[in-house]
Amino acid sequence: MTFNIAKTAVNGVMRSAGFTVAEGSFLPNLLTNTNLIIKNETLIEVPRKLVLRTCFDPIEVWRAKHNFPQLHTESTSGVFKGESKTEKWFAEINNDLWFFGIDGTNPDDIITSVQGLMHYTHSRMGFTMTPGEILGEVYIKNLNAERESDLSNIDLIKQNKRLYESTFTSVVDAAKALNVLHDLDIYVYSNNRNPKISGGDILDAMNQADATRAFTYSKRIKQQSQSNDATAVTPANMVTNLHMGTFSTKTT
Amino acid sequence: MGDSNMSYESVYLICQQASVSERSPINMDGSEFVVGVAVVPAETRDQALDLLNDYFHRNHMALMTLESVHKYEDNSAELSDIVTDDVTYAIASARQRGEVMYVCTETSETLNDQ
Repeated sequence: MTFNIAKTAVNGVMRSAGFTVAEGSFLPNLLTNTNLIIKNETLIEVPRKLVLRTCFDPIEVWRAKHNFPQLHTESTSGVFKGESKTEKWFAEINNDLWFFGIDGTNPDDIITSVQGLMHYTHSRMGFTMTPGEILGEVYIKNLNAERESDLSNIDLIKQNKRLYESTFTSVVDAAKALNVLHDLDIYVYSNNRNPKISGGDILDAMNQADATRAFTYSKRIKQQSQSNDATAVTPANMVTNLHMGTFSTKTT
Repeated sequence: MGDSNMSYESVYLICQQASVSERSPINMDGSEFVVGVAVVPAETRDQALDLLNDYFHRNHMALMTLESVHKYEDNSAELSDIVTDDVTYAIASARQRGEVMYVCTETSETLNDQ
């Protein structure tokens, strides 16, 4: 059972970027969807001026895994050094800006990628996005700490819950450090019946990360996904659940 | 696994149904089994089936029903139903990476939903 998205323009032109953590493939059907927001209990599709997609894998690992040998020749790519002096690779892929080697549980990595997009908009697009325009809606799909292959499923669930909680906290801490003044909305795509972590556990993780509000949207959404090693894809007709947590960036 | 300088030309498409455990990396919806097309870089049918069994073992899956095994030929009309966009991409990846790729077409959950 899926639903019909109400396609409504929200307050005219959307200036804000979408931001994703733990991105995988660059194929359009596998990208994390950053065009959905929940407003007044309704799911709305919004256009994005830009999307910043962050990826855990270092660029060369990602390039081999996703069969993109021509990445450096076909796309603009390079290295960006943020204020923390850490260098991260970026690439422009299908009009999105990707950052690689970004550990979502490390606020410094999140900050570097945000500063990278600010620099990118400033130097290539004639305007500078602010941190508040970049970190507004954050999207995560099917996080899985699957590298721990010797864990029992119960232990993997606990690991994944910690991973989600650390990621939520890290993104909020990054937003605070960048003086983002508005609340963050973090959206997670994960089937309630995902054996790696239930929808209820994801909401618990949001609450443990001090969400002011956390809920699962009432209708399921069609989303395709890929295993961490990028060898397997789920069916095109598979549905998932959308969970949303709102997090304050107030430091007092 | 796989040599990045080589290209693995010969590929088999294996249509089957496989059980998945909770730990299977492809199990994201609590399914008990998946139906899919495995894309296996191999020189012979037997080698392809062996490599698929290895893949299943590593990924907490097990063969339930073997539907069909096809040596992939580019632009084959009789394979056109099997070679969807996802499978086309998987074939390119399998040839580049020398690894088994798996495209689910259904899971026990998606079948329940229909």
